Amino acid sequence: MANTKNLSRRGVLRAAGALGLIAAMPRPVFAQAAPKRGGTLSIGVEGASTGDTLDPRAFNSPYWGVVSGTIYNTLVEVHGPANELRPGLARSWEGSDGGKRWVFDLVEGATFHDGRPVTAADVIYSLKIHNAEDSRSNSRSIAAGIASMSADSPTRLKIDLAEGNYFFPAMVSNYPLCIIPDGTKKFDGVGTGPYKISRFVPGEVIEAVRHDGYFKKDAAWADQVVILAANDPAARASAFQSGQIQIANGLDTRTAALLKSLPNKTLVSYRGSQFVGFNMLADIEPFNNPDLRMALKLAIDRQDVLLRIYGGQGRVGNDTPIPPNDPLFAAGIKQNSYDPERAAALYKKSGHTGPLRLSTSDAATVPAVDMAALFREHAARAGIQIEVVREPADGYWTNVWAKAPFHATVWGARPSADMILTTAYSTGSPGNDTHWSNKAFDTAIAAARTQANEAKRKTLYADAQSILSSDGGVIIPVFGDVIEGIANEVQGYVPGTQPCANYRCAEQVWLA
Amino acid sequence: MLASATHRPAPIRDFVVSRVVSGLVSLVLITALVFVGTALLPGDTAGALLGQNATPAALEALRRDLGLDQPLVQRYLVWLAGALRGDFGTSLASGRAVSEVLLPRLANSLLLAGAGAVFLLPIAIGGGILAAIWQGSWFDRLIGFTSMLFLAMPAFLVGYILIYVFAVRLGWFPSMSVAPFAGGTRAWAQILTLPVISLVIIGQAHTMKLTRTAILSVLASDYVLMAEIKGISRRRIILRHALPNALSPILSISILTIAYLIVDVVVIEIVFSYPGLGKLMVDSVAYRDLTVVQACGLLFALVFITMNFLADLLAMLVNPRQRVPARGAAA
Repeated sequence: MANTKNLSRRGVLRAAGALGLIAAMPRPVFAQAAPKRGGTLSIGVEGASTGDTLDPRAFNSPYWGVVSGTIYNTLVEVHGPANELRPGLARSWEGSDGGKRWVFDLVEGATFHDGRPVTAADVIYSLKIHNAEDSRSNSRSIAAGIASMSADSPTRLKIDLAEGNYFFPAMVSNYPLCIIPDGTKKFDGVGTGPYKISRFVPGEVIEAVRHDGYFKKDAAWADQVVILAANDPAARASAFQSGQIQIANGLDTRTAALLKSLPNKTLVSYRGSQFVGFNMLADIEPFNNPDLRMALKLAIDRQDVLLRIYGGQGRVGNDTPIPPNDPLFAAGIKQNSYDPERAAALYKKSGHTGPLRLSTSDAATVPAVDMAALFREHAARAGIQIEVVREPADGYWTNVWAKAPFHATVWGARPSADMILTTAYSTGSPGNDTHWSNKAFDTAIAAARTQANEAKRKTLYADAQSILSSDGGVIIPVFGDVIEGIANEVQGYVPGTQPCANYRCAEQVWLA
Repeated sequence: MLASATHRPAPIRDFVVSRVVSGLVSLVLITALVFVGTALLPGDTAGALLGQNATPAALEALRRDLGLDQPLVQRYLVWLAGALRGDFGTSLASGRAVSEVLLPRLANSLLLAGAGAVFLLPIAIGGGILAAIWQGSWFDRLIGFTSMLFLAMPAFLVGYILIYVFAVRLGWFPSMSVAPFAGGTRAWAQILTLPVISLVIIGQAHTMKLTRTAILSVLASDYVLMAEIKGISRRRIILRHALPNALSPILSISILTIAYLIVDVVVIEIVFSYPGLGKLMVDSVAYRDLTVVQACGLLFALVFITMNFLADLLAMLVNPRQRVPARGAAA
């Protein structure tokens, strides 16, 4: 971005300092940036509801990600645009036995808001509840993969997984897996995080004051933090414009150009792995035909989508959920790109005739609706007729998603590439929304997960991406960058790959 | 009415009894309509709560927990039986008692509507009276023009224009009406200002027009003509003769204005993200939080029916002709 000088200068300092540090070191000190204490930080985020509770198992939106990053800590944190792993409540960790056994050493001297010290027992409890019978946690599959947990000492935790997974540390950075006191039954917001809740009105606001015993010494600069429920994009933008909020998550790409001209405001963008795609159910007519699937993958002009839907801010996708900026992205495989002639030939070969009904909805975000209309035009040039059906947002996820033969989908960013590949595309996963099943793909990701050697792991994931890209049932044309608004008095903000500096903006920034 | 057959005629009591009974019937019908309406929407609470994370097993478990596997009629009757005892159940989305979710929001809405009424009624009724006094003047025409303008303008547009000018451009007021840290009177005044101005702008139009018409229709009556012939000044005619007689329609207008205000409040709450009952109801519809939607619907209906009833009752009380039984009516 052009107009992020002030921010990115400090951001670069921070990130550069961070690169030189070992993951096990405590948080670095930046004398140059001269952060200062004081003030009230207001953050406006979407995804709050009047039905909200402080039960971490219910955290499932950007709003609750930010609350988690403000009130709580996870064992491991993900930082910056390259998804660098950093210590959270665990100061170091080590995997062995094909990624099956993990040992986490906890930070010394970390305390909960009520003064109790943090021990391995708290961590065990906090992870365990996500797999309890009544849990509807979005991290349930992570907790379910844990075979056993034990405390070697109050600050040393041993976790055995049912199956090896070298992404486990990244997975426990997922915001619902925050640490709460052992035995918590009444979820009242007591955590270890930089701020403690002083007022919680579901669906409206959370206010929090600095936790003086916070274990990270050079963090949490503001005295108070207000997290406003700003679900409506227009309300979020105007609250940002008027200065009521200093950090605004997910601003509309189409209005970003107008917001750019504001004085004392900066727009930053982060390159997340969330995407809008089109699913073709690979197990039923007509999309059980791989030629038809490929014909459609070649019938969408990705550059045009990038330009028109995302204002040029994003990255072209290759029909796999791994964006080009991900370390695991397979750069060597063939890129699916717009080729009306080949698409027409493959379409003819598939033997399909007549219009294809593409279901889309605001539920799958606004770009999904616009993108479907654009796709129709692109495909028409290859002689493929797409009939766009706009479904009501109400009930879309129950009635249309993963059910209509051809429909729009949206996936949020996951803490690791392995998670999204497994959740959305492996055989038998409840989240497999294209019903696609491929033995070679399943084998490749299962082997990759337990492969200790990083280079070999990368090769295996490249194989998996190659199979998915050429045979899979999903079309992922573009990964749109996400635009966030930052007021100029907010300093030290480093965009990550998830909203609000990977949800931890409250402790990261200070007010000038 | 049965009562009138055995007792001496008492129109007011009969009126009250019949209106209370018909009001209660309306309320029950409305709750049934809301219930059916919410059930007809695609998707259910379980699906809305779980969203994309829904698996068939999770959906089934949650539906069972929430009692959504029971037939609709049975669920309604259970709810109705509870509501009659004053128990509105628990919110399907949060598991908290509905009254606990509802009451703070109701208080916020009443504050907003109350503040709106305090400014709206004097401005609109005063403006209407002045327009009638100065009928045909530039003031009358200006009032007529602005009334038409704001009648034609959707409520949310007024809200957004105010946000653009006073929050975004001038920065005088917050655009989202959420009480900040240590929200004292000053903070509340700040967040209420723009929503209240919106309510006044939207609501004044038809109240002003109705008041003006009411006064003018009284002015067209014979005793006013008589007073004019006697040479009494127009101002005196209006204040001494027309206004007391127009009081009954003006009272009705005022109360109906408050009823309409409740409707406008819903829209304005959404525009300003004001934490009131209207926003709660809209949010709850999105989550298919049936128990909360039901309770909100019931409250809105109750306010509307009560206001209408009060309007008619007051009209009867201030108008002596309606208090006595009609003479010569079929016995």
